[in-house]
Amino acid sequence: MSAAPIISAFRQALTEAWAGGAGALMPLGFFAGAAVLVPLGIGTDPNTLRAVGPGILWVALALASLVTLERIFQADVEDGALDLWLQTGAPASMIAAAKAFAHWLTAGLPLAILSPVFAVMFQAKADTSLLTHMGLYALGGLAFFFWGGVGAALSATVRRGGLLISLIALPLYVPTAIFGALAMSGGPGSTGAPLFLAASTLFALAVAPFAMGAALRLAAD
Amino acid sequence: MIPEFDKNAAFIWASYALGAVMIGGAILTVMIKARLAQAELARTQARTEEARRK
Amino acid sequence: MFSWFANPHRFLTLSSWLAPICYALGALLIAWGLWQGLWIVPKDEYQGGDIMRVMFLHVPAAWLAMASYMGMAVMSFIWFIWRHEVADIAAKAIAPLGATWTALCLVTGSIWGKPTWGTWWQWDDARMMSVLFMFFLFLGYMALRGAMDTRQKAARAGAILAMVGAINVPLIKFSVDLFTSLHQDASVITVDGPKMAAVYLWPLLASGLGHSLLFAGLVMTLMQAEIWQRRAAQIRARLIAGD
Repeated sequence: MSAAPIISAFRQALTEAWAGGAGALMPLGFFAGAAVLVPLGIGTDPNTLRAVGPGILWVALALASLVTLERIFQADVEDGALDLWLQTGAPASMIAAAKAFAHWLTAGLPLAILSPVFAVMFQAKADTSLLTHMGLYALGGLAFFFWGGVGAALSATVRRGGLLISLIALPLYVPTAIFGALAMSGGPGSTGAPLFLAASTLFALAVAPFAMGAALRLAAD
Repeated sequence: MIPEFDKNAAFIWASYALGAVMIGGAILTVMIKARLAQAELARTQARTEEARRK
Repeated sequence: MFSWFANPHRFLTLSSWLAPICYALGALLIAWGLWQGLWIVPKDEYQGGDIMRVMFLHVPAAWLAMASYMGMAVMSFIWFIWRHEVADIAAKAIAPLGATWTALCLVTGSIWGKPTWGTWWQWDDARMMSVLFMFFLFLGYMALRGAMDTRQKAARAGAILAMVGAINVPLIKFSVDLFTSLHQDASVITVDGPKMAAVYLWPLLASGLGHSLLFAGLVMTLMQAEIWQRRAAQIRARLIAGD
């Protein structure tokens, strides 16, 4: 067993994301589109926008992660890359974790980094709390990509599995979405929420790779 | 015979009616499925017997 | 120990007499619970009057929503570790029935909510949300199994998802509980023992047990149907191979 297949899976996921045009830009476009459409839909009242802003960004982040997930394992199953990696004896869970992490790096992290821009568009006050929020979005996004990866790995052999992935991932996204939005609400319960968010992300990092690994071994059969 | 409830009677009857429909529907589906499967198995077994006798 | 049950033939003999008993006892208990709940017990003014009679349907449904998901996860686990076919057949049979009772819990909860809170859907209520996500877990499980092209793959993918879902249920419940709740606290099981008046407790327990027995009987019948289907398919395959 060596780390080579894991590194190669990670590298391949990174190049895949940047190659072929849309790649990493697709979730970004989705995120921006959602953020721009919301004020058109619910009106431009600054107080309303300020209240719903963080929540909208969490929803957009969750949905944006689903947009890219459909292809993250499917391509490897189809072109046989998955079989090659597994033949080397590398643990499937680590390969899966590397891919999910790479996708978070290319699609999740840029959204988190851009979040202050959208937050300001939603009338948030431009202060240091936006940086804290950036960290929270990044942390929550990691959990989204890992749980979404479970759905993606399970439906890797299913053609047009997008809806299936969403259905599987939706309940798994709930704790992250709740803790994340709660942490930014400033209301009661918001002080402990960042810790809960961190804990639930850690939980996803600990559990999801094994589920993804088991699902990938199934897909390779 | 039929109990009389206060102003919320319609809600109570609605929930029990829905419960009856949903549970009844589940029972009916399961029973039909089991009957069909049993009949199918019997038919297949009879066909095998026939094939063996020939 | 599980191996004893793992034989489909043994399961068929067992369920051929156990399922009818479950149906009979379940029907009796549900009937008694309904009679008590709708005709006999006095209304509880503190709980909004007669509307609390929905409890004798709503609470058993809520109990079964949780219990059936856990049952499905346990069966998936047994299949995943020991590959006992009957466990997978059980998990497959539990899913649609569990989804039915979960939906029933949502619908009756919603109907109960309208006169009590003045709204059909209370986002603030932790239990409604938990049950809704439970429902989604069932739907995802069924959709995933349906999308797989072989039985073996459906079993494996389903087992992985059911187990992932099951370990997430406490976290989902905890996160949803963080929202403030208009619902009263769980009153059947508390540390000091049940604090609900005994007049309501017995019909409620009877309904809960009755629904569970009915559910168990239906699961067994659905499992029988699946085993018969598989047998017929096997015979057909042999017939084609032999010709």
